[in-house]
Amino acid sequence: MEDGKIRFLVVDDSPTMRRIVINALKNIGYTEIVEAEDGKDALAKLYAEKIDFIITDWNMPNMSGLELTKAVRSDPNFANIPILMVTTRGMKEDVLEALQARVNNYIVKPFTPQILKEKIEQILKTL
Amino acid sequence: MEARRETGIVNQIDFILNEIEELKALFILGRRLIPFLEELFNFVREIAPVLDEINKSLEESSSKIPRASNQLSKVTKTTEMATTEILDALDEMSLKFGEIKGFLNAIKLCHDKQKKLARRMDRYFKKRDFEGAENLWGKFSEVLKNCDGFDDVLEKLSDAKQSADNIMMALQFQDITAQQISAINHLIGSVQEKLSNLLERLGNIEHRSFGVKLAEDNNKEDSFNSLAEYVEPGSKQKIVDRVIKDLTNNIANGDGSPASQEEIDRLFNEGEKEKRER
Repeated sequence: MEDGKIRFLVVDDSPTMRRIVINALKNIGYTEIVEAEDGKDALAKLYAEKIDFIITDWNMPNMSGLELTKAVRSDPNFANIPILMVTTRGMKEDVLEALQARVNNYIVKPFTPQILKEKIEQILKTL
Repeated sequence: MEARRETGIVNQIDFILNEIEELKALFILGRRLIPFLEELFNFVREIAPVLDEINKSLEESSSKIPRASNQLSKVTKTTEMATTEILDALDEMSLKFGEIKGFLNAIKLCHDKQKKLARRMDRYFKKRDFEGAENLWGKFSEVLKNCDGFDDVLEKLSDAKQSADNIMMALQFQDITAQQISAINHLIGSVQEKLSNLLERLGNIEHRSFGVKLAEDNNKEDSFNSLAEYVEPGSKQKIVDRVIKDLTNNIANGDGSPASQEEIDRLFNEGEKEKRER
């Protein structure tokens, strides 16, 4: 976090969803945002740029959000980077699987900007 | 007499020879028929599993059609819900903008009155008629009191922005319908594959795509969630939060292990119960 500004990586294969999440982040006051269209793209961006916080979808082509989480957690350099899963998957098994993969928090779509704000703040408090 | 007897014997021998010839022909036919019958038996033996497979494939394929139909209904429902939400937000916005226009008209009216009074006061000052200017100042202050509509405008603008944000969030339906449609594509793809395989098997017909080209990522089930649904934003979140809280508590208690399935089930059942009660 340079100058106290958090740099977000928003990962979603839907350009509409990326735009919605980015818009919500900007409304909350976060302006440093990088986009990625799937897990593979996200990993490339993670290695190329300074990222402080990952917001990822689950279901994506090439590499899913869950695979991305596992890949990120297996790298000691990124083992503690906050990961917030934002997904349509709301089954109990899904939540359990995501938490076992060590996401920091979990949001079910459709969500409200308030929920996004709360979850980000909750995660940041624990850091 | 003797000659007639001899002719009768010859005829009988001819008859026997003919019968023998016919028998011989029958044996030859039988010998030729056996391999054909064997082939027929083999064909029936081979076709039985193929017919069974056709039956299973058709059964499986036809079971996917109602699923695709249900998915299509979900898309319609999702689109309808989101459209209603967007229309509600637009109505709200239109109402707020109408109110803002009303406030701004009133402010403009005030501003025009102030301008007129200011010009008249200016003339009094130029004539050094301070008494006249003082009287006008009283009127000016009165007008000023009634011009205080900016706070209302700001409040209504904030409401209108909230409606715009609600529209933005309602557009999440696009992602949800995209996943529902991907699930339909996947079902169609698997039915197409089954039918193509069957046709190939039956008549050695070369695989044809029937002119339908399915997207490559449709085969990757992890790229969409067939259970994606559009509900009231945030309505599922409470249930998920309780699961997370429970798991976090377990870890905080030093247990270190994730919550058991029974515990999660209990939480979800409670969540469902709450939802029903609401």
